[in-house]
Amino acid sequence: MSVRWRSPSDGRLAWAEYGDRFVVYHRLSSQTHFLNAASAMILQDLLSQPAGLETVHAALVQAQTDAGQAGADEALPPAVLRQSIAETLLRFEELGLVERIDEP
Amino acid sequence: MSTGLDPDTFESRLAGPGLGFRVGPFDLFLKARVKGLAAPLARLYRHYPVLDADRVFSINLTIHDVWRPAWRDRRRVRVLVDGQQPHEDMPAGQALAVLEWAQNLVIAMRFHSFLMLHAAVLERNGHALLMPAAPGHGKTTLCAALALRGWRLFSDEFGLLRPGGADMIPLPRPMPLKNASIEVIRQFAPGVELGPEIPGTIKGTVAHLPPPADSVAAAQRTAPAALVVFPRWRADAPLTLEPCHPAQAFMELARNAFNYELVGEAAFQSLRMIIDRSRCFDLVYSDLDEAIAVLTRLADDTDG
Repeated sequence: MSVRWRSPSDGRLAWAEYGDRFVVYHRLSSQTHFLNAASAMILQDLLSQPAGLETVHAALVQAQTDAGQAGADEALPPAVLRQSIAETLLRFEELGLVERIDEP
Repeated sequence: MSTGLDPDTFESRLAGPGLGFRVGPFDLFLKARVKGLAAPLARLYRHYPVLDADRVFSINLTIHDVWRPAWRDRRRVRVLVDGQQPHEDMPAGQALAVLEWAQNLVIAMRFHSFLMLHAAVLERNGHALLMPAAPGHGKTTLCAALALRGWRLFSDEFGLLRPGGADMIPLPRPMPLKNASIEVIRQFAPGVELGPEIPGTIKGTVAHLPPPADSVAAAQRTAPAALVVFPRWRADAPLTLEPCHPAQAFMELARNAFNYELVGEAAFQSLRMIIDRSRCFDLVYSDLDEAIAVLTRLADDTDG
């Protein structure tokens, strides 16, 4: 069974952007969250369309490459980055920022 | 401006029908029948406009002596808010501190039509400086020193604003200096008038610095937020002033607020406006004069 995540409508979030860091207000919980650039990108991607771990991972690697970040000598090993993304998704889920879609 | 009441009249009205004061945006009604309280209260509140009693007051406080003949500490004081007792009776010698804390309690618990940041706020050249800090970081001491050097006092404790806006609202009140800060301020401003030293409180020894008369007189004049500085006093530390990331400053302001989550999205919008309009710094200091000099330069460099 594959798992994908999606973020409910963008209307539930208010964003404040400060360069590479973000503050997000979640209207459903009245909670405010601090996001770094990678976490913000994951959330914004999931707002546009549901995605699984591998898709999120690929998009993040591509975005970092496009931005000239994470050169070969400083990039996280794929397994570590994947684990970090999984933890972020689980945290987002706990906070109600994303929800999982279980698909057969 | 002053209460215009002589000490005897002040005391008799306080103990009898009560006295009303305008304190920032709030109308405070006070009755006090506690031995020895009227004189220091009269000095601390001498600059506040006295209100006639024919109005609806925002805050109704009564404090009176309670005698417990069978107890060793026989004399206690009881605070009533709108006739209700919010906490147990307290030692009589702490009456002045208890009364100020009762005001804090009422403001923090009741007035959610304001966003209440936990920050000292002062104004210079029309720009408001916000200083959020955890207890023990020297917020009140630095606030008191700035007020003694001519900055307009808004509050040492409550950063008040209307949700959705970024204009700070003054709430100038007596500033409770604690423990070593009392002597620090005496050294900083020789001859400064402080209220009586109150030992043995839950926060140690407390003495109140009266708000400057000019600050009380201008208490209806708001100022837009322009500087957010997180102060931290460290013994013997050289002064450092480092830019603070605005997102970090945002989260710290939210975390330190009394009612950020309760106010909801309008609070988020207020903080976004404050951060968008402000420069944000972390300040470490040990010398008050150095800290004041750097903050004054920052305020004077702020574009109108």
